[in-house]
Amino acid sequence: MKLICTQNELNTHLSLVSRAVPSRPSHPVLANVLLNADEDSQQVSLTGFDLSLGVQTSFKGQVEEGGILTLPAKLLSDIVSRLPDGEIILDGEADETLVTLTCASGRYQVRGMGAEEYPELPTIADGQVAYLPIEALLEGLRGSLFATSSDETKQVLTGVHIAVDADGMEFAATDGHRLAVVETENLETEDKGGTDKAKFDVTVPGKALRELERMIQMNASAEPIAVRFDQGQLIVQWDNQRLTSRLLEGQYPNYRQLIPKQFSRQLTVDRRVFISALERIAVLADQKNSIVKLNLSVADQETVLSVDAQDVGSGRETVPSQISGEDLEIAFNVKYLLEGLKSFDTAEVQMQCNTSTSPSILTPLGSLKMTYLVMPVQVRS
Amino acid sequence: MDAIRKIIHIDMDAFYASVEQRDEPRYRGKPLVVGGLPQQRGVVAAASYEARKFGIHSAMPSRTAYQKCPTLIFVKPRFEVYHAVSRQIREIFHRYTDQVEPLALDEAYLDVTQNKQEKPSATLIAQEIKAQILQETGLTASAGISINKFLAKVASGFDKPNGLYLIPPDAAVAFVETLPIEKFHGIGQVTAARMHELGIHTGKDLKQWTELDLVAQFGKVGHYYYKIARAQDDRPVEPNRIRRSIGAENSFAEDLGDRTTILTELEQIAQLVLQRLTESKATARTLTLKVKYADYQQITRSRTLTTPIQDLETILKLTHELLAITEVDRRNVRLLGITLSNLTPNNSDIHYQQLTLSFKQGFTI
Repeated sequence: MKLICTQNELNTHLSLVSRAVPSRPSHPVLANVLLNADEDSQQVSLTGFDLSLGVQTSFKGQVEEGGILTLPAKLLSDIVSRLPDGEIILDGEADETLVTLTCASGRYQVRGMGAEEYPELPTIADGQVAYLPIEALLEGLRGSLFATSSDETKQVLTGVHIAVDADGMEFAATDGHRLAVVETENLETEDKGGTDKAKFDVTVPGKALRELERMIQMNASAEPIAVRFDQGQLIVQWDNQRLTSRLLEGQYPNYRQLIPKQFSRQLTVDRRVFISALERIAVLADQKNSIVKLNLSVADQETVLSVDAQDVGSGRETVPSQISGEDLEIAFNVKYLLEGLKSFDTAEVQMQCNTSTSPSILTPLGSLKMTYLVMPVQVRS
Repeated sequence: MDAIRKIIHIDMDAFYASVEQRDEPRYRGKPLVVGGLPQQRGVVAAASYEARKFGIHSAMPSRTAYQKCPTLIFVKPRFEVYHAVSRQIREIFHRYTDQVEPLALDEAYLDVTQNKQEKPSATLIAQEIKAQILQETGLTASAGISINKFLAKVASGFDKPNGLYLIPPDAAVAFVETLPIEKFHGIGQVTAARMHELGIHTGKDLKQWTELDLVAQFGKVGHYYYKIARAQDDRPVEPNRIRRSIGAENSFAEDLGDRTTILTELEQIAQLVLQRLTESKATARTLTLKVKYADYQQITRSRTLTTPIQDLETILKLTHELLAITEVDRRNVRLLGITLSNLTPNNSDIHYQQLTLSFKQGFTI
């Protein structure tokens, strides 16, 4: 094998696949990246796979002699990331796993392993395909990923539930204390198994979707992205990149029924003003229990945010608001409010509440269809 | 090196049990334990001296205690009373010094090198404190007096109950040399058994080992063993030590491989941790499960809740969930532990509770 590419390109693509390389591999070869240099197409492809998440990416290189082998991911990226700009030559003997890396300043030899034992990324023969516009996919991910549970014992709640039907897609994530739902429209679907329009719902691990978000942002393509599903796998493919992920098993909670239809209080505030005030409050709130109290005053048309961090200090902010309904005092985890508000991209947000112990809903006014439900914190003296 | 310190360790005798016997004449002179009931799989929090004769000790499952002594009296803990007594004895300590480091409700270190009454004799102070405790609370305490915390603690346990023991500075090294290693504070049964296997039976044997070898053999705690074998302990008495965590752990003489046994052990540990949590009047938000496998590899797995952890049910639920992401199904276990952290004192009148979405379909959070 012999190929020439730039340090920049190799480094960028290595860092993408490295994120799918497990830190504690169940088999030694999984600690490696699979490197495939194809002479005919002059493409170099890299693969990382932890048996659940798989990332494959390829780029143009000058392939003088094709070949395939695996190299230790961490070692390789640690070296390549420190190499100077410019061309790199990767050179390996035909049946050897020792690769020589030559750059302007020096040369390194790295011992790898054969490619025979490296597992193939899953493929889906039958199953369903949806073609998603990039923007819609990014919106869906941005608006839901933050609300997944980071607690691995919570299984399906560590993922995002994605439902697809003829009208569009719906992304949902919840950790049990808040729920984010994003609806996107307008997509083409195709079902190889039948004539009906594709209709399915799956739960995809948050980790895989975070990688997907990162990859799409780095390499934005104008073309819609093909998303394939079957019983156990998700495969996303675009341009020269592919991401595969095992799906999370188990029934996702029926979240629709949790969203109240009617509210007795409603307020509209400037999103940035609200965020800045909450961020200042959070400085003190984070010292203690992260709780912020909101006092909605209909008469004054303002919301008073306050924090009382026992033994540390207290704070108070007033945010002008359009309030209808009745006055209310309600408390939240300030982090939950901030994460939701930051995922919106509108100038104004609407907040709807009933009582101090029932779910409240935040929605961006205009633009995307997003519903963010937050459970309050109950305060008892 | 600074001037020689004067450290007193005061330890109430069978504290909870003695309080119960003080308040209920019918309990006096009888084997009694404070703790959970055997039928509720409780654990012993404290055993009276009469109960100890049957081999009953704290942290033992109440069932086992009952089997050892069928006439045993079980009393539910009354933490408010213990707290009140604890405040009384701490107030007595502060008559002598503000350098008081409470270790539990019934135990504290005092540094009386400088003291409010300018008494030169630490032994005299210890005698006075014991007398005042007896007069004002009707309970007995044991006192150990020496030049550092380690020796003071060993000394207070030397002559229990109602004891007073002094290890003078010039006798410290010789005292430790003759001390059987199972009497060393910080060396538990399992470590003691391992030391015996290595031919270490007394402080003198322990002293033969280099610091490097002790660390290689026992890990970080080896540094501490090296020092105490030489009667050295420079830890200061810390009056404002803030408790950041509450925990309990148990190492097993024989590695555990069976899931049911592991769960039973964890339940006992959970009971102890809960008792300590209640005793310290706090709630926690984070639970950490510690597992040491047979090959000494140690892992911890934690979870943090938005709601306070304050009951056995929650502790057990979290423990089981965390156990599911360990390798106990495939690897034998030599130590299990549960620690609660992220503590909030209970003295606040306001309670906050993060509310949870109510999923249907049997979905629980």
